[in-house]
Amino acid sequence: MNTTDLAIWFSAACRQWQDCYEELTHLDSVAGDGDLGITVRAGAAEVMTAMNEIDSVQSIGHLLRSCGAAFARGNPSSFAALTGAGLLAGAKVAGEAVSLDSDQAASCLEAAASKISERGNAQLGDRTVLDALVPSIEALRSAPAGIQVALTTMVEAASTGVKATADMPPAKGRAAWVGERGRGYPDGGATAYLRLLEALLASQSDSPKQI
Amino acid sequence: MNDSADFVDEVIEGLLLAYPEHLNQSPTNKRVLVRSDAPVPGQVGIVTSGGSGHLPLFLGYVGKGLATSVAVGNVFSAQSSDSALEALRAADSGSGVLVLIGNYTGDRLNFELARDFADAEGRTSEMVLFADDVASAPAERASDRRGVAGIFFAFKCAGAAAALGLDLQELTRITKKVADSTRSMGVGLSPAVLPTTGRPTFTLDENEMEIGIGIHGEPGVRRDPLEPADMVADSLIDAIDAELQFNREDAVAVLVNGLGATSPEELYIINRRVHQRLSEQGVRIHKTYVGEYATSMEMAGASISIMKLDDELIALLDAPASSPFIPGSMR
Repeated sequence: MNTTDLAIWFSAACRQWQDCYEELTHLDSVAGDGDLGITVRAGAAEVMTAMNEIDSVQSIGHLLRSCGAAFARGNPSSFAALTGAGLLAGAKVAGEAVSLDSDQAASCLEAAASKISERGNAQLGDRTVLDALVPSIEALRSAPAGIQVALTTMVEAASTGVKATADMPPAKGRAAWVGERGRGYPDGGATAYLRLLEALLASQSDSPKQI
Repeated sequence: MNDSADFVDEVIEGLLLAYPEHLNQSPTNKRVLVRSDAPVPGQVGIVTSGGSGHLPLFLGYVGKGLATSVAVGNVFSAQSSDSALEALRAADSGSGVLVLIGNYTGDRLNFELARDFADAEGRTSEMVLFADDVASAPAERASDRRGVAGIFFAFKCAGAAAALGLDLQELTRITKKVADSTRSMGVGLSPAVLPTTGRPTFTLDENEMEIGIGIHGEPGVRRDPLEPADMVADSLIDAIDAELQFNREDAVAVLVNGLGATSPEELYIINRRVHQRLSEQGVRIHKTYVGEYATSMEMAGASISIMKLDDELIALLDAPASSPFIPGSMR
């Protein structure tokens, strides 16, 4: 998939991703400060604007860097800054390449996950976005060829990861000092990532392009 | 206030009108304020940032002999990474930039992201996270602690070091020494009300106090019935002493800080007790600051910060500095 294809795809997915605003606001109000819905809605809108300015000669690294800067600009929450830093780390891996295959995509996501873990000082099981992101990367690595099937397995893995967060005690962020209040609800950040994957899958079906 | 959505921008507008000779607004970002003489050639820049609602923290510490620029967030919310990057650029004379902020996740993450972008522009920066609030986490998790009023000492010493022309490495070393030598703790008596939600940051009965409260109303170490000022001061001093371990002949600086709705009279009563206690221990108080240095909107309460001094820090603390927010206190 080349830079222009990715920009169009990401933009369409971001439009759909905003539909989870209510759900994320609710989940984050239970355990956090309630701004995750705004973060995703505003960040996705900024990414859509940024993707309009991408043209075909620009590298995948440039595209991911633009996404990171744009998402972080939307609403300056911890989730936005971590996602921004993760996309920047992914951009470094993608570098000057002008097309992306699924192995490269997995490497970008791995770099993002490790940056988020380092910056957020979070590990698997801490009830964060990592609990959906990391299993989805493993699914991508072992998925058969084809973007549709790869994304489908990623969604399944992330969904299992999200469900598991409901029983995890929060260790990070404001959720940690409100203690047990969030118990029984899935983590908002992990849910946001799952909804993004679903939006990517749904908008991919609209276009015949294959990775 | 007027419309709560305009709260921060209107505060900044009023500030700039009051002190036009001290502060400029960045032409590209209205949430970035810069010292009027910045960037100063040959001097390391000092950039800070954080949520609004804590005046004179953070923007009051932009001035000669203090910080160079500041990125301003919404009330009790982190600044954006965009603003942080713009503030970093504005402070950079080419001699590097020290980022000096309180240890709050959102502030840190947004500034780290800004530093990623600044690195890509070829700028050099170091970051020191101030975490002086002993009540916010136990000593074994000291890296989780929050930054409160004691960060004033860091602005003062790092700002003086930058004015002397010391390089970024030296400035970083000195600022870390200030952080290692400073501890604070506060007490809350009534909450602040957030302009955006109109809701109090916490609830407390009229006859209760929260020992160890944070500057956003974060819970402290315990909630007790109200006690006389000396007993409250003793609780705070004991917790600080347990960490700084005062010895006879130690020199210290003391900061008694009001959280927003506590009268200066009360602060002087606390200061009296701090001096009594430290004198009994044979500690020499080199300098005392009493007033509002880090507030939490209209929260009632106070905090005590103490910094242990050596000759280097004494010289930096005594160096000239100016901020319109703290008249006369920078002597």
